[in-house]
Amino acid sequence: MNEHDAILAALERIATQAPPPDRVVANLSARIRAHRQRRALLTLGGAAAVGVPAFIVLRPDQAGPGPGPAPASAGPDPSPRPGNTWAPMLFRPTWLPDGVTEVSRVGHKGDEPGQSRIWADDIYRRWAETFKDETLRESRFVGVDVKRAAELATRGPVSPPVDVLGGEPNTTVGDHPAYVTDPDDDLAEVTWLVDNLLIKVTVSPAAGGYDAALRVARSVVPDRTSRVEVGFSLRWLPARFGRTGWRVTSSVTATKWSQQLVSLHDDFMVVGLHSPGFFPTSDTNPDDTQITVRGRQGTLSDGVLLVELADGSWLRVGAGNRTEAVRIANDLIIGQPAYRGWVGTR
Amino acid sequence: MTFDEYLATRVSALLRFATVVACDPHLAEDVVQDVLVRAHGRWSRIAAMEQPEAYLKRMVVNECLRSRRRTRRTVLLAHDSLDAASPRLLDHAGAYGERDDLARRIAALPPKQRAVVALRYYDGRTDAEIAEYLGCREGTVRAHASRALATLRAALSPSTVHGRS
Repeated sequence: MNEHDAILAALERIATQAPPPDRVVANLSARIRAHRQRRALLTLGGAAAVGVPAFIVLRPDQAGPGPGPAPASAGPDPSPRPGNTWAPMLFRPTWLPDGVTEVSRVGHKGDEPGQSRIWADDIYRRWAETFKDETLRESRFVGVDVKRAAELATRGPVSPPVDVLGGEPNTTVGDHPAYVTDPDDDLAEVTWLVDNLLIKVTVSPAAGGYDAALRVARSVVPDRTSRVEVGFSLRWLPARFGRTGWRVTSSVTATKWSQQLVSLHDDFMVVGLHSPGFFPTSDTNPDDTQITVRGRQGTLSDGVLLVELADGSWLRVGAGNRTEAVRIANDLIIGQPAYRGWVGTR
Repeated sequence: MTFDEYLATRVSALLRFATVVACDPHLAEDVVQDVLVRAHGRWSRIAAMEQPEAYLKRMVVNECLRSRRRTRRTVLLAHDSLDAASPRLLDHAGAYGERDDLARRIAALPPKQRAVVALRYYDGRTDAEIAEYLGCREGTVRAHASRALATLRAALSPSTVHGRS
């Protein structure tokens, strides 16, 4: 046996451990469907993290604009309102494809910088209410996500930053090497690094795909005036959450809205305020535990507490156990309506 | 060939190829499923290519390398697992130990070196083709191969290295 044959024999042996094809094929249909939803959900930032649609029914005065020319940027956000929780936005594009306006913001509160913003069209907004795959493919949306490049924090910048970008740099954004995904892919993605922050621009095929993604990416600038705000704040938390950071999310469609705080570290926790109608009473499970929270009747199921507030909005708390969920909900401060003047602007 | 026809006839070979590249059957399963999910959405274009399977294998290789980078998983095939995969009785005693050691050394290679070895020896690709797969120069492929072989030769007997049977 020569060297070539010996290596081939060893590789053949490794190949015998391949998983059974029947199992792979059997799982494929579900994966195809899940993949499409996941790709879209990933662009929803915090919404995906909690595993539930982040969109709920908007009151008419809260809805974004209908079809027609999108208004220009609303300008700098006003100061956060008392009793609310907020996080800064980090970057924004100065060029966007036609037909998209901002529908979702996610920021990080704490020491871990991060951002996820989405500009989308009406098709996307309708899709976000139904999550039917076929409509998503036709929709226009742009995402601008930012996160700390963790690997660089410990070993310093490298060039080219292949490990972090996800591929060999094949383009540039400003002076930065960047990686743009295969234009045949469903979504075009451009990733690059700025001061140890990984920026990713995602553009749907209907919004221009590869070309638009590069143009959006090259228009991205620091954003020092925008925020994401939720209309509540937490007054009590279990001790283990004392040092955690939070993902602050605010998302809307043409008819729905949702605001949430999601823990970034430690145990998982999500606290959300959702518009009326988001949790239809017809969905109530008779097996859920009935519980009184904030003087109102709510339900508790699998550690998730849900209660309809006096104004018809819903408070949802997912915590480690019943005792914690109830105390968090009871002690939580409902602030003022969170600023959403950015909705429907570019 | 339709997507379903491909699944019925070729997915087994793709899984074996992915297992060789990843040296991890679990990762191979994930990668192949991911690749097929993505391929499904553009199957008409892939099927129209001159070599659809080569395109899918390229996706598999890139996905394996990306998955490695992202998860930083270091997976070595367990000795017991290797034993189970190949009946000892069917093997020549001397070659068995050598091949067993060689398989573990292949599994321990850096991902790109292993990808080069898999493409060159298992898939029979030329250095030029491998360079295209990996998006690098032929010289880089040869460098990866050289380093990999230096590692693997430590597991081979002198007679095997020098091509004597």
